[in-house]
Amino acid sequence: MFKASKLSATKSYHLKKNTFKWIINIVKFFFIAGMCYLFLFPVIYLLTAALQDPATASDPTIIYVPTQLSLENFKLAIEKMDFWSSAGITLLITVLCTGVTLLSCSMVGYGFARYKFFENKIAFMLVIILIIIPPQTTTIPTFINFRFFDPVGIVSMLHGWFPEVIKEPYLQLTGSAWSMVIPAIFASGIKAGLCIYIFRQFFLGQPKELEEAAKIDGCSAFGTYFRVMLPLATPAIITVAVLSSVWYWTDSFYSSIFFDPVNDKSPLSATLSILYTSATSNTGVSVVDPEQIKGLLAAAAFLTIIPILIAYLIVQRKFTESIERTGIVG
Amino acid sequence: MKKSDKLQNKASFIEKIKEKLSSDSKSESAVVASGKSRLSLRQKDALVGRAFVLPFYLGFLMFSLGPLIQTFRMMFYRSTVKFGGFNMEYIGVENFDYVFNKDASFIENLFGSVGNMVWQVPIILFISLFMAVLINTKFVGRSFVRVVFFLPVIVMTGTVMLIVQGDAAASATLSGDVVAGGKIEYSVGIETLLLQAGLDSKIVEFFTDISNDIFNLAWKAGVQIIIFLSGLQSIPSSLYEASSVEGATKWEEFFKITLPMLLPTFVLNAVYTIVDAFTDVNNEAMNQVMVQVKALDYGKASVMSYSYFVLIAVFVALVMWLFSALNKRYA
Repeated sequence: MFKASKLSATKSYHLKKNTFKWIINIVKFFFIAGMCYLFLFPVIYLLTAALQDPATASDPTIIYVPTQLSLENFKLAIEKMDFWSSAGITLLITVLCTGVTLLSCSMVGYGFARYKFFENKIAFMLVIILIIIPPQTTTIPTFINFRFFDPVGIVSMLHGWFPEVIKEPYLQLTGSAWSMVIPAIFASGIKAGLCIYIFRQFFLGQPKELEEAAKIDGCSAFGTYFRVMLPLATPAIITVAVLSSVWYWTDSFYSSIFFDPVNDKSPLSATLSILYTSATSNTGVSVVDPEQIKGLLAAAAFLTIIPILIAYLIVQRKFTESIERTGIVG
Repeated sequence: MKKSDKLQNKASFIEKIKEKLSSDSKSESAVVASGKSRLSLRQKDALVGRAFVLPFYLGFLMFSLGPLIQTFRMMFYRSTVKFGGFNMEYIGVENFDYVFNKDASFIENLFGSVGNMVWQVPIILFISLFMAVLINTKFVGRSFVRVVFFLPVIVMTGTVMLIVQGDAAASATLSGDVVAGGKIEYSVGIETLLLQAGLDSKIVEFFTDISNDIFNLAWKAGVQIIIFLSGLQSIPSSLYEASSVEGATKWEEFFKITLPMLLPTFVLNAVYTIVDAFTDVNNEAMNQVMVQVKALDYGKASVMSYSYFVLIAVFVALVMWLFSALNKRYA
């Protein structure tokens, strides 16, 4: 008798727990599905418009499902954007800048997080200021700075010394991938302030035991950073890599400043933005007939975002559960 | 006799050591002054730290300082672009006078964007934390959902959003989804439904406004979700193991482990969200700055942007101070 009642009590407890779990799961499912709809809706829109045969593009009854599939729009977009060459230069810029940003920003972030020096707080304020100020407000001075690049008069000084080697008292950084890579080397790339901040916060949260152990074992300061702390920082590295590569890939602001659309090979988002303005403005010479604009733009936008989406699909596997921290007891 | 000798010896020995010590410290200070080795441990540490931060110093000097100073100077000048620089004409505080006295709209917009930010930032933070916790759990199709949640990060930046908006607006009347002024209005369908159900139009408008705002704020949470996700992953799993051994519920785990450990990430995200909300293209004050930049009126633009930055900086400082106080309480 007693045994049976106890058994049924545990049974009902498990039943209760299970139903509770089920309810939670259902709520979770609906929430996630709703959010997915929210985010997917514009992209589905793009895809529909892009896949629709341009001959029937003006049919207003088509909303979500294209009636006549065709790849005409994609072909046209690839041709108009000069897709392969501009995707090539975008890839080069993205990979180079992201790699360099990871190195420089993690170093700077580590320095801010772990070392005490007189101007630490003040210098970090500068990082915050860099985060706060949107680059658009300093557009023209930035362009002039890069077009006639002469940091603290060094280039003009060298020009004075070796007029044969350095022809002009400034360097022209605009028009090449260097205008993106060089700032990234010095932790001043696109939203580099935020990257430094991410790394700093991460390193601040790490225990000091591992570094102390490395120091006692005779590891140099740089060796400690490179061989102990950097491998530990995988979550921060993946975050910064993902965000920074998206920012470089989709950046249309810097690339429209630094690249001349007529003479230079422009990155992808710059060509997209040029295509957009030339297709939508009534004043300029329109490159395509107005019937096709919608599909063409949609296809171009889709082509721009699809490589980075695929890259993220591969990388996101690294966002797994908590990292395992070995070597620390207690 | 011998004893006193010994004592004397000892005394002289101590004297010698003292002398040596003082001379040592003198020579050390001399070495420090000449900038060579034999620094104290703290000085050495500071130097190593500066070496780590050096790339940022150089970058700031080369790329950021010049434009910042240039923009600052422009506040007091009327400047026109020429080849390789600017023609500057000193006009004193005329730009300030225009922005703060003659043109009333800027201050109005400024307060408007502050008001928006105060309620938007907490909601965005909440949404992004919630979603990050959600996609950090295991379920079928997680990879797909993660990629979908990443879409806002890609789409919100740049031209793609413009195209999406223009596209959706073109066929808005049919689909029931309206895109206007950078906002996607999802709930037009629901609105008509509720109106037909006989609800008062003001109440319906109130609720649909809120739901529209929440949907649009979810779009702004993309980057924050990623940052929270990585923050969640940097919490050592041993903490959760220990707490589950001790019999903590999931609820307790969240409030006693996850939230405190996420505090640094929270600060980071709060700062990012504030800055993002302030520098958004749809922000009226920011828009006004951009209008002035496009009209090549850099004097007024820089007055506006600098006064704007000071305001943002105050908010960021406030948030950072708040969180550091919280951090001290937890630690």
